[in-house]
Amino acid sequence: MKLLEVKNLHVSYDGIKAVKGIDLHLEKGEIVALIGANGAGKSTTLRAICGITPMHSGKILLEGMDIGKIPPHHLVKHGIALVPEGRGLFGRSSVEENLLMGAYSRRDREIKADLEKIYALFPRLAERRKQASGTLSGGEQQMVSLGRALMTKPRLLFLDEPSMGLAPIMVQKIFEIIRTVASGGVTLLLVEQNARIALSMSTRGYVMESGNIILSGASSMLLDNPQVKAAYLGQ
Amino acid sequence: MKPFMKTGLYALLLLTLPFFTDFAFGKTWVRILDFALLYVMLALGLNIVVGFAGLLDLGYVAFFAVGAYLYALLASPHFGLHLPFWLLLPMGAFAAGIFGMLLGAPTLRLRGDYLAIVTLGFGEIIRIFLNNLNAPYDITGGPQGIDLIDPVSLGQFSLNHSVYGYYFLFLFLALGTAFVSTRLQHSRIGRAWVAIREDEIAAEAMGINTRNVKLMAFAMGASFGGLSGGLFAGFEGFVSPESFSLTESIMILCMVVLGGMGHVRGVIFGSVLLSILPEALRYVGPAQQSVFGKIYVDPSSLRMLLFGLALILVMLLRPAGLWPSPERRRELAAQGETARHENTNVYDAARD
Repeated sequence: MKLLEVKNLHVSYDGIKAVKGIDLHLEKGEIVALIGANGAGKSTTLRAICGITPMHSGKILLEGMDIGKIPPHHLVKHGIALVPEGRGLFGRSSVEENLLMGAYSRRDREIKADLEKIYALFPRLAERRKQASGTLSGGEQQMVSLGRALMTKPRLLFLDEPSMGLAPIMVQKIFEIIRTVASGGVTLLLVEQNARIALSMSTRGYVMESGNIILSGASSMLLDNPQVKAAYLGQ
Repeated sequence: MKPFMKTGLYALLLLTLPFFTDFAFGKTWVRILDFALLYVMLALGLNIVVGFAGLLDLGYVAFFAVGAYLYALLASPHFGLHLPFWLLLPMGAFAAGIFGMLLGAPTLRLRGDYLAIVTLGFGEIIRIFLNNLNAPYDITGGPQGIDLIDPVSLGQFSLNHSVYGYYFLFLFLALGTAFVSTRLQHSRIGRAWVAIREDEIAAEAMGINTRNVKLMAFAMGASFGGLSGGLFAGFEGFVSPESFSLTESIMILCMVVLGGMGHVRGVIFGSVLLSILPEALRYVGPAQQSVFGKIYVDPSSLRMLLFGLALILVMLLRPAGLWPSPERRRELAAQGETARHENTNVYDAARD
């Protein structure tokens, strides 16, 4: 059974039809990229799946269960985590407080151990655990956001523009870590404007344009597609 | 000094303060101290909403009014009811909490200036209701308010209008609210408040029910206001809509912001300072008299001018408040530090 299945999703807000009936799905263990230009409807799609922006019509199934009506704060209990656009850190709180907020809905005894795992994954965060997260560099903030999402123990992780506003060298680093996370068995949906890097590390991809999915398939195939090359890879 | 000695010293200072004040400045100033403690409770309540949860509330005085009128109506000759204070205070806190949720529910999706406008309107609605609910049935006494409210009393023992008695009662309750505030701040709900203040979407993704958490902030903050309202009614023996104007809301907000939003000790400091400063500035008249031999500027107008000037100076020189929490101070002082980190990071990234 597919881990996540989105069927005929329509989303409008402020009178604009942002998503016009798209279908997409994720198999367990996959890394799937959703690429497209600014304003194509990628983030709206993600926000609708998370229940933050209400959808107009369509179906969202998590292992066959309809999650379309579930309020966003309950999704974390179903193993869905979000790294929001612009990182969404609790800026005045320290790195460690941010990471611990990821365990807000958990009641188990593994929280401390998981925190240490995050520090092992991001040694730089361990160095700065007491620092206010708002004073970190962009790359470090992205690490905190990613670590915080991992603290929820997700099986499905949504990443909204993780490369946004980062220096190229930091983008490389963040994506290396994302790959490590995926190899740990977490299924990833990656929303990105940076099509090259998103397609180079994903198994499959969807290309969005003005609210529709215009292309989909294996990422290697999309990377060779002349249309994608011309529109998103600048070749 | 050992910690328990320090605590003991503070306790001694607080317990003997009214007597020293009376000796040095007279009873009027003990009364001002009583009011300062009342404002501490109010400001701590508003701090929950504004400081912890980051929801700007400009109508906070409405909850103070709810508590005060509840006490006044149920413990005065107005309806001939004389319920005891130990019942009325929790009732006032509870009623105000309900009103807090009533205000919170329709404003859940609002933030910042939009929320401020709605809360401002709410504060005014409550005041105008109190002002006009005297016809056709006299409920609130209208603009005349309610007089001859029972003082706080237990059995035979009554505080009457003793400034000392109220000082100790208010001190006890102010310390209680400070304790509750601190515990709330470090509780699970306190952390959720910080999260919704900083980023609502991320908070939701962490599994925080933002709706309930916000309503909780409104209700908790309002109940502190309701409690202080009841105390105010018993202390003054008289309530009227005039005491619950917008200016009062703004004053309480100033106490929170000036002291240090979200920092319990800072807020206490801010509220004591701002309740004493305007009173102290009354002395600018006599001071002119003694220096120049003549009063040049009318003290009543100069007083508010100096007060406003003090507020502006504090906000310019200490934007995080006079006594901010360590996190907040760090945030506002971090410009240079952040830049330095950014630079080292570029270097670090190149290195690994």
